Amino acid sequence: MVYPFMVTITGSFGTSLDYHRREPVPEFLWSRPDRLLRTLTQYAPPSSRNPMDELRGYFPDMPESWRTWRQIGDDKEGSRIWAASQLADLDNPKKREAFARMSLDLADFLKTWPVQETVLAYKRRDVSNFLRYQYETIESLNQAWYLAIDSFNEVLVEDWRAPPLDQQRYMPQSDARYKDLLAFREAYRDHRFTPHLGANGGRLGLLRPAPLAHIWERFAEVHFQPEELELFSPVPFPVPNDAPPLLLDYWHLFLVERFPLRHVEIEVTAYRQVAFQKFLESRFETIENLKNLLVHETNIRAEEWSSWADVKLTKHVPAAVNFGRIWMDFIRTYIPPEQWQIRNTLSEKAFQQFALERHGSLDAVNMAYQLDLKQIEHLRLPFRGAFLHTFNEFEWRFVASQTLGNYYTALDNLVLRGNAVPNTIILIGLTMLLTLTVNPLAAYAMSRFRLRFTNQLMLFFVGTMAFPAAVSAIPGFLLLRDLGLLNTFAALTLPTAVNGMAIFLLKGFFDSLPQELYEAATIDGASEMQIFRIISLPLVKPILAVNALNAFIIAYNGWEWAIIVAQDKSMWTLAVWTYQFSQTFASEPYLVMSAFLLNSLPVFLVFCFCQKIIMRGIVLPQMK
Amino acid sequence: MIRKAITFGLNWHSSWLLLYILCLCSTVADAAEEPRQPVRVTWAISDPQQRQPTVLREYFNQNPNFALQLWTGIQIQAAGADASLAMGMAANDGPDIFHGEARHAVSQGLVYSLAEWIGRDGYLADGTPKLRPDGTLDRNGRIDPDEVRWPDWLDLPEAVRQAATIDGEPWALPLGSGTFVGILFSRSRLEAAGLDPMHPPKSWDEFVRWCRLLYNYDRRSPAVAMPSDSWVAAPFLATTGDSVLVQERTSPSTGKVYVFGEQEPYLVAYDTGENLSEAPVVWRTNINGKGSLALTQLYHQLRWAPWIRDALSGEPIELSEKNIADGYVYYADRRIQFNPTDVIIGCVFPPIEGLVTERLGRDIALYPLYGSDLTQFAHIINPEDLGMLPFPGMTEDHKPVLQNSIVYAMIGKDVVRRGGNTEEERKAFRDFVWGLMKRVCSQQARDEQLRQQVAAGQARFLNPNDLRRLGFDDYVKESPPDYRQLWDQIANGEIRLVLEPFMGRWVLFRSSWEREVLDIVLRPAGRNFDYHQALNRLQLDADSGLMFDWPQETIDRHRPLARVIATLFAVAIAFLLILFSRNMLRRKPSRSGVYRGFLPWVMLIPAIILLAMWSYYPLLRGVYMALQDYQIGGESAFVGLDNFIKVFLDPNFYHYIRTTFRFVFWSVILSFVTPIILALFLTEIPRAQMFFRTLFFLPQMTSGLVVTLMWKEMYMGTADGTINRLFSFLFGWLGFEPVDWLGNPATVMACVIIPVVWMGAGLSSMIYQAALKSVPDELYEAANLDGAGLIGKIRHVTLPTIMPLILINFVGAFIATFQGMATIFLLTFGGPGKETMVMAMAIWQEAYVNLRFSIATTYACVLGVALIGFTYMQLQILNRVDFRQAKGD
Repeated sequence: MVYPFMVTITGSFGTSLDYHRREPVPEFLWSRPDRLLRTLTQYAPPSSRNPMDELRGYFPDMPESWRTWRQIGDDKEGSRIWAASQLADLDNPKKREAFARMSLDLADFLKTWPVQETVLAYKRRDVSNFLRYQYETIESLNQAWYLAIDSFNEVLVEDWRAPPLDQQRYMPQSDARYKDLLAFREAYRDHRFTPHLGANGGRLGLLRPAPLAHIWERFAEVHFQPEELELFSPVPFPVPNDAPPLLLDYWHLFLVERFPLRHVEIEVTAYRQVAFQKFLESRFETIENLKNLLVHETNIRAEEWSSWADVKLTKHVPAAVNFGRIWMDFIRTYIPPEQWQIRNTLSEKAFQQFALERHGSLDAVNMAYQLDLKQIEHLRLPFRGAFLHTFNEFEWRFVASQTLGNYYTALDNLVLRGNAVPNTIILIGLTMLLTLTVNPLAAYAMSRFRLRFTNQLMLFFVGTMAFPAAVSAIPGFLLLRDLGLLNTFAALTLPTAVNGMAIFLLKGFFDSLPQELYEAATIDGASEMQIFRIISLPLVKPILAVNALNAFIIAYNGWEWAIIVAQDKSMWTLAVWTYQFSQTFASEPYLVMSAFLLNSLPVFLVFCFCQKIIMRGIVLPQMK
Repeated sequence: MIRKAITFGLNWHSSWLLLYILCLCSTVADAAEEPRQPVRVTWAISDPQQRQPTVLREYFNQNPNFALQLWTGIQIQAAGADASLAMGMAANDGPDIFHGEARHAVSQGLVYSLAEWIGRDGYLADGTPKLRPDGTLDRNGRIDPDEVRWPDWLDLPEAVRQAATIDGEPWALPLGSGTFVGILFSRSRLEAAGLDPMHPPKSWDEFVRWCRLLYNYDRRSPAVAMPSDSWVAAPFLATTGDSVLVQERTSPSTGKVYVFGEQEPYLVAYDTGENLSEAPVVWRTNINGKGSLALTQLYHQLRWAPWIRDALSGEPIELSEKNIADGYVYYADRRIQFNPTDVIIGCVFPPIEGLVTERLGRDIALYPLYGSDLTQFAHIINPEDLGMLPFPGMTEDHKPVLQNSIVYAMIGKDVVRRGGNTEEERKAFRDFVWGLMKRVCSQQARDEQLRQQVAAGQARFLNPNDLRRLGFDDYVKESPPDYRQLWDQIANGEIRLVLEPFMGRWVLFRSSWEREVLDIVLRPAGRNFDYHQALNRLQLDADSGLMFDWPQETIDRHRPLARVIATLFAVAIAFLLILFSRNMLRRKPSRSGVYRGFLPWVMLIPAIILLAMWSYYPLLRGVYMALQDYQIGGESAFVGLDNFIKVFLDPNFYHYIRTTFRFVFWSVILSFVTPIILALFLTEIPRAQMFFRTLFFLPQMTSGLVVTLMWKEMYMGTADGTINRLFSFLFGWLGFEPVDWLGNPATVMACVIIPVVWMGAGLSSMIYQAALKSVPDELYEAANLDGAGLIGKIRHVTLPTIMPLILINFVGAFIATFQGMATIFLLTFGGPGKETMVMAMAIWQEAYVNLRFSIATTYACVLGVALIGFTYMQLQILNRVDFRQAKGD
């Protein structure tokens, strides 16, 4: 009886890591290693780009078989051991100091780092909040992004989390969407969404420089002979020109085959200038063809070109998307990789220089970070240290934000969505009003007054129970349609307002009231309405209360009929939104679970306050 | 005092008035709200996140009188996915442009014909009839060049035009060039297994070998996902040379019948060489044919065949029953000994929780899936790592197949109502919608997206055909060689490109195919599944209403019998009714003292009107609908008893009845016994009553939706479903696999019953407890004096007192369960197969998924009649009892 509820509650706190364990009591409450992993999930959510590959770059001892968070969560023993070994470093004061140093350096480095070259593990609800702030109305967002959605909550920007920065020819688009992404990342960099991480300068935020070293390491693993791998590992990144020739050969192969070309720069010589123009000529034949391709580009002035000589080869990739692509094609095919220079836009390279400048020398860097590097090129982004430091400081805060985060998302999508709350309140009000007027009035009329057709009427009321609701549901739907009542509260309330069983029960109760009361009242000169109000109603109050409560529950929980007759979003109640939510977020069941709990909360409260009413409302049949 | 009372009385009435006015206002407000109707479009329903192409934006800028509004309905899971659109259409509130399967939509009258703009068969482009020399209309089922008003129509591929033309009228346009269904693979994973995508498997056997080579031996998990979807099965089936649908053409000259596949381009008699493209044709389903059987066998082999890996060569070896019993197998002239733990069962897994694309390249190496090109999943998997293979031919003699899934856009039937009050305005509106439709479907929209992708540096992952068409020829040579090879082979005919089947009611059929055959084979319980029989049953279903209608002769033959039965039945019912009302009205009220005022009627009228309007009128209309062939759009013909004949001839109907009875039987038993046990338990616990009460009541109060979906999580069929987790220790000990609770016919019925029982048990037990308390102590004392034992006391005192309660609960539960379907709707939607398809669920599905309202109401009528007996009983009991409040706290 309790177990499903406990699993639901735990599930509502879950993440992609531990949801599928379905424990009755969440492990993170008592296990620090589990908290570490949960926090790491937040930094590399499953929807980001190959999160495990990236993490394996930072944590080389991560088991090869871990490919998804769910797997890691299922490998309870292994994940505990791994996380505990990470935590062990935090017990070493020297290392802890080094981690703090790394964290501070990374944060400082990020302050001036261009946001184009970053990875962001944002929270979904921050996107909608950001866009709502930026655009105010959904129409203006639709206009700017060329979309047709009807709520900020519906914006899905999966590509925001995972732009293919590691692709060789990736060029960022220059549309409004991309500009917003940059602004959004800047907001994250300024810790507008995570103020606590911004305080005192040195914590790892959810925005971090985009790494590339892991791709090179992966490449090395695949291409190197085993003995070479042993000889060269750990591989430097980027490989300096004085490296052993064999390593350089592999590096150049990597540059041509895999390395993102926007990080490359070349020397522009007159000879290359001419070669570039020849390349363009052979590809496009006339300059007009080229200009046609570039007609929408705003960052270059293609319209001013009149001959091939006007088209200049630049040192690094031009900012215009299409032209940049052409530049990359030229570099890749016509200039040998030995002559390429790696630009400072490469996160690792820039950070290496940053560390050198800050600490003065390689030895000082080694000292500060507690490392043992032979060359500065062996230094990687200090994600691991910064992460451990941040985790150490904000352990419970991460747990809380993640745990409540599910609820926030559910709240955003249920309560703050459409007219869910007003609709539900109006529907409950109308339903209660209707059931509390129609049924008691009818029952009273039949009980108080001796009518010619009382029995026939009773049969008329109770008879509906004889026929399955399914027969009348479809024609009822068609009738609503023909009356134009679809998508109104009338459609939701009127068809179920009269309840034969309730009338029957109420009549029984009115019948059981002693006739003498009525007679006495009549003798005192009370009108019929007075008798009804002063004598009858108070006596059947408990039953009415139960009727009201039932009406409340039915109205609050009902959705089967609602999804047929009120399909218009503006008419959806909380129950319908909950159903919808469970469908939209089926891939993130922990969100669904928190939505369920939120949805059950009002009923739970009502129950707690109304126990007496329910108990008094239990009626028992007895033979006459 | 008196004045106050009067005001109060008035208040009662005025609140009523207020309510009516409120309801009326809301209607009026709705009607008055639309000064200018925006065009509503669902073309983007699958992805409202998509940027609108420039062509559309420009079109709207040129026509500022119109605005785009997205049409969205509620999402309903799995098989109910199309129900939202259907319900919108049924409400006369459908979208102007929508996409879907043309034939089904047209047969239901949901579509507005495009003949107005494209032209129609038998009429020349200017609208004049095209006559044969003998004066009849010259019709051939196609729209010929001299009949076309919109020349672009002729640029569409022949097969697409054929799919979009029904009865000589064009109804739909293809939405772009569609997506391609093939086998997606992860390059790195293939490389790691030493497989070369340049040499894809040439036969099914080789495909099985690939799946086994890719098997993750360390984690003992398959690396090939095998979805049960029909869009995977249909092209796979096409590699056998067979087809789900076949056309039988009778040669006019010899009278001989020739059978062709659905998409056979050359309709030529194989022996005489006669051209049969104009010959009379009969369509039928061919789902139990050789190809389909072989395919299901392949699925079974992939999922269930035992095999081992030869440690020496690394090759997989399939094992027979005998091999397993022996513990050794001969392979390459060696005798290989193996342990039972070495045996691996199957080499694919079904993604039963939906798409798992995010695992592609992580732990999935092959995944039959759709994609317009390799960038389809770029946000999940690096396109460098992605590739596509065709479905391998059954043997090396069969051609591999790639399926082109085309989505069709149509104009909704409700378009005629919109745009204004005059015919001119409405015509202008329609023309605008047509213009929009043309643009939505045009290549331009897709091309714009392609150009963007090229600009973003993804050219090599795009379809080389598209690249060439857009003049990006020199990017083609950079495509991965295997991807280029795929398209080259399609171009030179080495790979056959097929469309998704489109004749008949394919949409309805395919979901049955998936749920009743493919899904079951692949699910954990599918090992001993008799798929041969399931295919035969499906074949029967398909030709009797699911895919094609019953032959009219069959129905005609049964009509006389049906009439006789119906008459007898009507007489019986009438007799019962008379008997019943006599019983009920036996006690005649005395004429004296009848109240003659109007006040009681004022009090009664709201209830009477509401009930008449919302219960009795729909009931009568429902019965009438069962006698009609109800069409959502257009005229509904009166067909008499035809629906009943169809229903009673349909073997499914009897299956639904059996399922319903099974469901009701167990539900009633369980929901009858559990509360009594709980009540006893609760009486025994003196303390913490409040706590237990809360506990017991919570499921009752919580939304059924929440409770049911909570249970759905519990039943999750993979190893990490809650129940499987809970018992994993026990199962591991007993050597069981995790149970797929909802996918296993043996367990599913219990699974859909338990949540209902769980929900209701708390309240019922409270009632029983109260009833037990309400037995007067004197009675027990008296029984004691009479020397009755415990059993005697229960029999003579307790039972008689609470008998009415038990009876009422029993009958009430019976009726409620008969009609209940919410749990089934949420948990299984009637599946697996039709295992939990109870009558109420079947009604929902017929009405809102299949849009056959008449069949649905026919079912409902039959259900109603079946329940009359029980209801009669219930009314009898109600007539004899009084309800009293329970004593106690």
